[in-house]
Amino acid sequence: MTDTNKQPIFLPCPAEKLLPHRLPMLLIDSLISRIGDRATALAKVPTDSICIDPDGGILPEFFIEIMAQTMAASNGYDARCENRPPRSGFLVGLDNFQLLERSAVGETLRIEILKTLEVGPLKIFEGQVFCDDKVLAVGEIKVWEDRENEG
Amino acid sequence: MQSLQQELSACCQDFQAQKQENGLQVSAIFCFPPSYPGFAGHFPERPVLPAIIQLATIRHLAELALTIPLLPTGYGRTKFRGIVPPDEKILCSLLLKEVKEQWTGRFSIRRTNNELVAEGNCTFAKK
Repeated sequence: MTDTNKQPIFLPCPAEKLLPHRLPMLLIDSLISRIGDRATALAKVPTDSICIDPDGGILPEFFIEIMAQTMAASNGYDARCENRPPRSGFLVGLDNFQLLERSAVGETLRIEILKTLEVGPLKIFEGQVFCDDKVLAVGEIKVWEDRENEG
Repeated sequence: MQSLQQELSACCQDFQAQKQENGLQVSAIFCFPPSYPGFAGHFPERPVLPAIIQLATIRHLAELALTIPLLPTGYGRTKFRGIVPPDEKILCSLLLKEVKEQWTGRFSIRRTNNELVAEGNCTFAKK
């Protein structure tokens, strides 16, 4: 049987190949770039998403989740490239998060993250969410990776 | 399809609000059943309440207290210390102050045994 996790992986890559999340809580569509400490993903909120408010807007906390999922997708991509199982990651912190603008349902969002610190299992990322050139949200997220089973 | 926001109200109970010298103290108990949409796909065979829903409970508390819809314009020094599974009751508390047409707050989320699940600072603006 072919182990799909050992097949070469190319970008752009559908997010479901890189993340443990599944619909309806898989909120990013694809990882499109992974260079150095940076990664970029795309997300689009469909009209039947569970993240749609009763007034037709997008749940404000959605912007935090897509930053976190972009980071997780980046880690999933790294694991595939290094031919190892992906590490479980836990969101442990959020700082300096600002929601600057709202976007409309159906718009394509671009999430850019930059790893600014890595100390053992702890990683800190700066994230930005864009719609075209407009910055919608910024923030710093902290993740703890489970490396217990690694040699 | 159920929405995360719409189903949040149904998971909220025992809401309390009390004016204090240093602000408005609000609290409520939240309990999310396995059918809550935030558990679907997060994760398959291991449902975990998304951290963003923990934050949404705090916004919901502020909205109930101020009786207006709010946008979270900022979160700071927020720590997530534990996983919340389905059917676990969590006590969400928020001390809210009005500052220049916005509201700032310090929040905490605890299990019924007082174990800290999350805490942090938040800022809300009128939607």
